[in-house]
Amino acid sequence: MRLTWWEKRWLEAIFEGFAPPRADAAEGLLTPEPGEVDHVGRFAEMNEHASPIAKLGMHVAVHLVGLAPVWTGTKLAGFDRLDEEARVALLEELMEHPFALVKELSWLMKVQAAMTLFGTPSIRARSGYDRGREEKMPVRLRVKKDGSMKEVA
Amino acid sequence: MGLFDRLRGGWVYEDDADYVIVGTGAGGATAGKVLAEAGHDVLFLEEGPRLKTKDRPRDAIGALSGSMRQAATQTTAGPVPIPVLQGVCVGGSTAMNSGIIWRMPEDVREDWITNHGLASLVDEGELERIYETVEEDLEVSPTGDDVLGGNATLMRQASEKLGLPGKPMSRNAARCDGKGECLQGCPGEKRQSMDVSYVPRAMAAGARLSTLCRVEKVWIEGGRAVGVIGSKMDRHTRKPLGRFRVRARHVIVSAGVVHTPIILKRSGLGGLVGHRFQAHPGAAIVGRFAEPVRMSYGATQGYEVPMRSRGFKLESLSLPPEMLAARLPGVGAEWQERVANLDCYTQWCAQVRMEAKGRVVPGPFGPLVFYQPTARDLAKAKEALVLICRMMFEAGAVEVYPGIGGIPEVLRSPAEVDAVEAQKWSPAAIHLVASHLFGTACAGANPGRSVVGPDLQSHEVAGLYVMDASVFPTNMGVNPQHSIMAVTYRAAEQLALRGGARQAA
Ligand SMILES: Cc1cc2nc3c(=O)[nH]c(=O)nc-3n(C[C@H](O)[C@H](O)[C@H](O)COP(=O)(O)OP(=O)(O)OC[C@H]3O[C@@H](n4cnc5c(N)ncnc54)[C@H](O)[C@@H]3O)c2cc1C
Ligand code: SF4
Repeated sequence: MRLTWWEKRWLEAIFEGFAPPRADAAEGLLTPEPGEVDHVGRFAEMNEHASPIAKLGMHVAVHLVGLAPVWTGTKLAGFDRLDEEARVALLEELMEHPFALVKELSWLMKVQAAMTLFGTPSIRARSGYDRGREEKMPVRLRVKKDGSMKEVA
Repeated sequence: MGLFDRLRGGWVYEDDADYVIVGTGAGGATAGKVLAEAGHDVLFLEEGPRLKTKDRPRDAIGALSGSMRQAATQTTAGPVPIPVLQGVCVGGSTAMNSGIIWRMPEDVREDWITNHGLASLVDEGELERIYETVEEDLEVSPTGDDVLGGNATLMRQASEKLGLPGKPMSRNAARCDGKGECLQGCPGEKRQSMDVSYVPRAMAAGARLSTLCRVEKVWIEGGRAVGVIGSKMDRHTRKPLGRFRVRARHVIVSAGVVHTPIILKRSGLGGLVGHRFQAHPGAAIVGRFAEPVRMSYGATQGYEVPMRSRGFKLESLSLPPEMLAARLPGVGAEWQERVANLDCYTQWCAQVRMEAKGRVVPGPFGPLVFYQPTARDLAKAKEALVLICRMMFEAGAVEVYPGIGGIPEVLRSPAEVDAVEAQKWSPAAIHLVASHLFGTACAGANPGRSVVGPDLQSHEVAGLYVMDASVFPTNMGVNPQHSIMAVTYRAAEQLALRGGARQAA
């Protein structure tokens, strides 16, 4: 899927808005390092075989969120010109927007961000997802009376 | 063949066979296996590639774009689009399904006999014999405790606490070692999808397979099917390289519920082709636990709670990390905290037997699927999803994420579930996905009400058969693969008997 230069900039900024990168990892948060995720490349790969309607939807979503600072009255600039805090706040607003279309297209961007992030092996490794598998142990769980779980052999 | 085809000529590939089978999914592979083992000359034409299990990508992007139609982005047309999932590779949708096996429910079989005149197709004794054969061939057995994993085990605990009729799923993966990657193709070929079972068996009996061959229409002469015409596709771009044609004594179309009617329509068939599209759309709920659940270990799907009398079925469903992360609420630090603990979640889904009927028609960019669940369908979906939320808290979840528009993103107690249940849900609120599809070339004794007869031969064109889920006149409320295989097995056996000895191509 071909993106214009400005779509690429918006896309990168939008995806980084969902999980802002940091050089120094914050305690308890999954934080990508700057440049760790090839958002644009993974996005293009993912959408190469998408249906024409899905491709169109993806362009519309990038423009809708990319220009959201303007049409929400946040700032007269593209999404990439917002600072980290403003990006997060705006994405939160869009994900809760009263218009279903805005909400759905913003959610589509989040799905794509999750795909590119967790499709990156180093990020996946830090998510803890594969912990049980590495141990190659059958996991059996029992719920205790207080509602928490314990592992049994 | 029309004048246009004659003038165009320039075939990049020509072949002939006794039986040409379009598609290698549950229906096509079964038909091919039966006919080839009966000594007939069979040629499979498959639009997708043959994917070597060990080479299939393990990440979701690679898996979806390499094996699923339009990278899983095809949706129904209409105000609330529903993704429609189908495989496009050798094995069809069985190459990425979870291998859940259910025999056709008795009430469905009786309905097909009484209301659709299909007594010979679904004869009780014959189906029983076929089920046993297929179950043995595909190593069907209940999911063992050792591979249930945390996701399914917690569902079992919730089901037992609430007194629900849950049970470990029967699957065609007796040797499953809980890698949880059915969607990406079982890494150790433990799950007996068609690409590792009936297609190789058919080929061992002499069947041939041509991949990257997209059939466009059936070649009809004098009211009889005499072959198929299509385009050879490039492996990488999936764009047409040139046209091919194959002559055959019998043509079996098994391209699945969305593509079979398109091929039939392009071939000039009319009537009810494309009508009565039905489905079991589903939606899923995610729950967070204080302790690790480890979704990455265990059968992709291992435990189920069938509630047919309520019109739905609940299933544990493990997801790759990319898809799980997308389901977790929040932006920025809130989301980053949730995704830093991806081993602490469960996901359970509901498959709903919907009454809605839709239509598949050719569109400018491919098939259009018009389908809209009814108000009653959505009420069933709501009942199922509310029950899942309750089950999650019963199993000890600390947070439940319904993922439903217009209601809170995070529920923290059963009382909040009651509040959500009391709320009105908008029709677009539930994010449905459909992977169990039915109809569009329905079987029946009455040519005015069906496309193919009880032997699955077209009412309009002699020598043309449909053998896949499109022939189902109704949906069923249970996972369809086994019933599709049983029905096509039966029809292929009857055809093999009628077809006589091999007439070598
Ligand atoms: C993700 C997923 C999970 C599922 N899980 C389960 C489960 O656990 N249990 C269960 O019972 N069911 C499950 N199902 C449903 C089940 O897999 C399908 O109902 C079944 O495979 C349908 O069989 P079919 O023969 O009708 O079509 P398919 O299996 O889809 O096969 C159709 C074949 O035709 C080919 N084709 C299409 N058009 C053309 C053309 N023009 N030319 C040549 N070839 C063509 C396709 O590439 C494909 O190989 C699941 C489905 C999906 C997508
Ligand atoms: S859960 Fe894993 S091992 Fe089991 S069948 Fe699926 S992919 Fe294979």
